[in-house]
Amino acid sequence: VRDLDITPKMARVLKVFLEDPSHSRYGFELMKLTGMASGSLYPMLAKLEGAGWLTRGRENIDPRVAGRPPRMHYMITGAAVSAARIQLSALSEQYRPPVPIHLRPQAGTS
Amino acid sequence: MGYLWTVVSFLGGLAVTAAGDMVSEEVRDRLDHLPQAILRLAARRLDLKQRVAVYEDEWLPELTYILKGDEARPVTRLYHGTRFALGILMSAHRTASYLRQADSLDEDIVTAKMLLAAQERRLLEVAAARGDARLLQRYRRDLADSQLVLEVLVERKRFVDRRLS
Repeated sequence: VRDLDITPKMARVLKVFLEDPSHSRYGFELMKLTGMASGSLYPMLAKLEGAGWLTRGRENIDPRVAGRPPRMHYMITGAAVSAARIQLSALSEQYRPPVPIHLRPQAGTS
Repeated sequence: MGYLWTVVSFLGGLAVTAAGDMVSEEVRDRLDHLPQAILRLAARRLDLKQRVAVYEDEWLPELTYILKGDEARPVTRLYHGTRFALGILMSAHRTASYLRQADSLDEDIVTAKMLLAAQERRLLEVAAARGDARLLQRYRRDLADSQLVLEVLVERKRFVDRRLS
């Protein structure tokens, strides 16, 4: 997989895939799970697929029976699972608030 | 006279109700097609090749699912369908531009890697044969140039990726 700069929005998408890496997800399903709009999600899916982080597959249905064309689903690649875990940990560390320093009064001053 | 007014009012009421039903049916039918019309507009922003891979294979089946899904009630499907299609419309230019640039850059990166590999082989052959020192130096310079080109292309690809996110 190619290196990617993970943004907070992208992290939300990757987190869904990491919850169950063997489970494929549809675009509309990802929109509902991440709360993202289609305008942000679909370009991101194209980018993740282009970088080899996701693979795209066609839904296995008979269009005549279902009365609609097959949808596309996405699955995270094996190599991307470990890369995504590392990148998400790094991002989480980056956004972690600093530990507050509690000042103690000096002895004998009160 | 009173009787006539009652009949006229009754008929008038029927006509208004029928007209109202026809208008609401017409509006419902037209509104049902609104998300698809917006999506078709978005597809116009894609290249012909992208239209098959993105519009036909991806966007349209997803919209059809939203409009025909189990939870599709008239107002819900209009809301979800229009929201989906509008989002796609807003980002269609960005998607098209990314796919175009990414495709072209990917091809250039593959070509640059092939050139680099060929130059490395040539350099190793000349070095193994203890060839002309000036020739060896020129080949080293060519190799360094190609490495620089590859680095620039990879960096450019990163920039394109970053702009999309």
